[in-house]
Amino acid sequence: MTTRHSLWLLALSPVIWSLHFTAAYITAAIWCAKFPGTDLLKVRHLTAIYTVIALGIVTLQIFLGYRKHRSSTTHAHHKDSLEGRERFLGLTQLLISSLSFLAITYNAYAVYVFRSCE
Amino acid sequence: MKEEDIDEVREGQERRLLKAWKVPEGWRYWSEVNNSEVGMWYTLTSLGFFFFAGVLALLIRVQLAVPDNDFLTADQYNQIFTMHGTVMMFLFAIPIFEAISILLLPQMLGARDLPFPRLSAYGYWCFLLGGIFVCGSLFFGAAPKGGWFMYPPLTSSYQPGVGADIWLLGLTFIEIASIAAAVELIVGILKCRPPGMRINLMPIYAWYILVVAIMILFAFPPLIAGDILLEMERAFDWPFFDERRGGNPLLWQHLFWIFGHPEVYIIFLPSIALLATIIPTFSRVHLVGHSWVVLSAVGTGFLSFGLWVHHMFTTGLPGVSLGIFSAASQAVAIPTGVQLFCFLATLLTGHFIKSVPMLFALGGMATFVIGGLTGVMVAIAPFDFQAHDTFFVVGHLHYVLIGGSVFPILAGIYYYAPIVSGKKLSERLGRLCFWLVIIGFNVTFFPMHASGLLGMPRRVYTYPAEMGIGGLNLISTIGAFILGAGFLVLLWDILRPKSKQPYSERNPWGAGTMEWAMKIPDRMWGVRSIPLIKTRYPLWDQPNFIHDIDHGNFYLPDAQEEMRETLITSTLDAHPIQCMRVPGPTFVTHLAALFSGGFFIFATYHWWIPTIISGVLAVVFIVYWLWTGTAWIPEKDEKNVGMGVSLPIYKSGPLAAGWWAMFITMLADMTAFISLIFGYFFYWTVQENFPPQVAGPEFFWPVTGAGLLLFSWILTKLSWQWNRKNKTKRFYACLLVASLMSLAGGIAFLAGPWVHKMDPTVHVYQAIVWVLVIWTALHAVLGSLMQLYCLARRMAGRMTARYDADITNVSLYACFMAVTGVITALVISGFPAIGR
Repeated sequence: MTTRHSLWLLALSPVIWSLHFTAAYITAAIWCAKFPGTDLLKVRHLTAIYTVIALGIVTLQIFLGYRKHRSSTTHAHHKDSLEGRERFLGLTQLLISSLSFLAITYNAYAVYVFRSCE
Repeated sequence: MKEEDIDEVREGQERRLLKAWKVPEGWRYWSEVNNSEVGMWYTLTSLGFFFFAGVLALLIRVQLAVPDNDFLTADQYNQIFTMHGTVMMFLFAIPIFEAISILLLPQMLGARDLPFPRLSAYGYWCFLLGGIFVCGSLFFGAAPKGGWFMYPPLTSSYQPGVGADIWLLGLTFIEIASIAAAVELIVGILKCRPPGMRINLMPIYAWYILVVAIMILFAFPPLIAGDILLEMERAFDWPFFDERRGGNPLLWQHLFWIFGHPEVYIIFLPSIALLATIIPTFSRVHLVGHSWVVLSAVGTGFLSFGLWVHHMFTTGLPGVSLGIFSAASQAVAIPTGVQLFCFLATLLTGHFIKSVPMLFALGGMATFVIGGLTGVMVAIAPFDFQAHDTFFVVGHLHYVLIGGSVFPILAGIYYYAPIVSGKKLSERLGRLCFWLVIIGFNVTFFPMHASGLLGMPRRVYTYPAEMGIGGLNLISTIGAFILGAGFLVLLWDILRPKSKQPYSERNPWGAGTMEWAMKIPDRMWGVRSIPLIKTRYPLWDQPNFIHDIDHGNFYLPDAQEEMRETLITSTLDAHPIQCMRVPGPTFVTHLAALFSGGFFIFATYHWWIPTIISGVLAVVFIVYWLWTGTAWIPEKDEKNVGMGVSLPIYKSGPLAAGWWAMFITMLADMTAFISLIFGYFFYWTVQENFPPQVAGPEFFWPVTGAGLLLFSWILTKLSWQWNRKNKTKRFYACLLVASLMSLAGGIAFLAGPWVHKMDPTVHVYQAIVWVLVIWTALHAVLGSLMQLYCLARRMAGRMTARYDADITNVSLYACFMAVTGVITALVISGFPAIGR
């Protein structure tokens, strides 16, 4: 049983969300400040690229979390054992990554519906 | 061993423990730094500020009770509503979470104290001093009056009095105390858990506090950066928010709300943490969906940083920006909802026990849900355009904050009273308090949604009768006094003499969590022996748990050297790794806080000489505190901590608490720095010609400065190695050169704009460059001082090749210093070359 899990991993998917969020916001803000009146096609394209990358990483995290969670079915999350701890961290990673997936999708959709900076 | 001999051993252990943790008597009582005393003072002080701000709220309601009222003048009203918001947010809501955590966390974690008790004490005295200073201004008619969010240009160009300065400097001072508490709590949770308390067994309260303390690290520094910019404009006319000279008031709104929105969750999550602790006790089952609640805490913590623009929907930002923030504002409802469903599921699966804490818990959840729903309404931009700056928002935010924060805190006060004072509060008065509060609250705030939709604006001291909102306002005022009566009942219940009331029995609510293992009345050692944890609810699930604690069968049952000690354990699995000695009572923290306060308070009035003297004295006392109270060299390497385990007394590097404190502090520091950098690029986005075609700092000086700081870091790292190898001369030489390089690096940065005669009052470009180089230079000077400190420590024999925490931590600082220097040089020298 691996014990390599780190608390930092729990934060990875939300960090990806925040990077995606910041990238989408800054791209749109700079575009609208520097090229007002133009359409947002390029911003949408760039955001689509950010979204594919972000969702790719987060999906991998969901998968890894799921695998850790399923790695030992005999130990519950609250058991005093390495396996229990791994299952708990796996489930938490799975859940937090799923929420990040959803939040990234929300964000991408918000950019997608706008056609101009008005 | 015979029974009598065992008893004698135990008595000896208890005697030594009591001696080590003895609270000083008489006036020296105030020198105590132990978490139970500091936590109690902190809680009572923040409750005191709560009542003060509550009285201000009643004055507001009296003024608004009838149309065209003249109970208060416009100026008085402005000061009072500004102070009401400011005090409730900065002097009650945030400090009380820190207070409760400092008070309870060590008990929950079975620790004797948090790792840096003197830091907690310093934070408390800063908070008290800053709080009195800010509140006191009201009695001299000099209070801030720009609203609790201090928007420029109102506060930069149209309010010449000291009010805004008191707000900016007083609160920056208090924010530093909050960051100190955050450092303490993060290290406490990650490193001071009892052996066996793996991350999956950690109490849910600790999860929430960990998330919130990390949020503070990233939320407060942007406001500190904003405070610096606004105060520089007010004091020295540097035009950060002056449109005519390239400034932009929206930058303040960004910086303020990058802080302000997470702050709502910083207030809300610790209170929800109280509910997550209380509900299982009164349901007699484990919390349902523990992992899901952890998801909620972490998820909410992150998402709350993506909502800030929803306070700025009406500032004319592009629709796509509003859409992005609106989407995140909707998304945060998901984790918020998840935790509430977990609480309901816990209640439904368990055996519900009626009690006063549960009344407040359920009342709080219901109230919060209403506030949450109106929150989803205002998160929709078109609705917000209509409701913005009206009483609808006032109604919404009070439902969120009182439902999500005050009700759970009241539940917590009734629940934890036996731990703090040894006695329960009155059941009868508790019920009376609850009904007065919940009825008064709803009568006050529900009509505000209607008066807001009818057009009643916020922050205006009166309204004409023709608006037709007099009736609604009168109802709100009546409700406010019912609410006030409820809080008076609480105050009486807390303060009433209880000498005839017997002590509560031990674990009076039948809880399963660690904090209830303590004896009532409390003994100053906190926990008789630090237990081995195997479950999430050890009092329910671990047989003989309390018996074994009481009989000293676990870790650290003794204090052989009569020194204050607690265990440090590994982050994930809580393996014991160190027996850490924590410092005891002192007055040096008071002096450090006093002069730190003096620095900020004198600066408010622009009394520069006392400001500088006070600042220097603050540094002197902080250095004295570090010199005498940290990184003690122990008389032996290891000691037996019981249960057959022997642990080192001293640690340095990433396993030590001090290293983590430095790392975490520097994360906050870097966030403030990045906020200033954000300012630089913000000006670039909003201006057509930024940087303008004027002399800049050019390349030579900033690049030289960055190079010197980089070398200073490398030399510090080298000197750390020489110290380990006991090559004393090389260590001294290396560190001395490093210290000189830090100083020279700072001077080089200042030389850039100085040599090129950049006048910071002419245009925002010059001003922001100056701010960045001053920030970097200050860090360089501080680095130089730290390097000299390590030199002196080694000379004085307080640091050796083996005991090298000081130089280890300083080399970590030097790394951050070098990064700051490199980023500053890249921005101020590199960006103009491509940005134009």
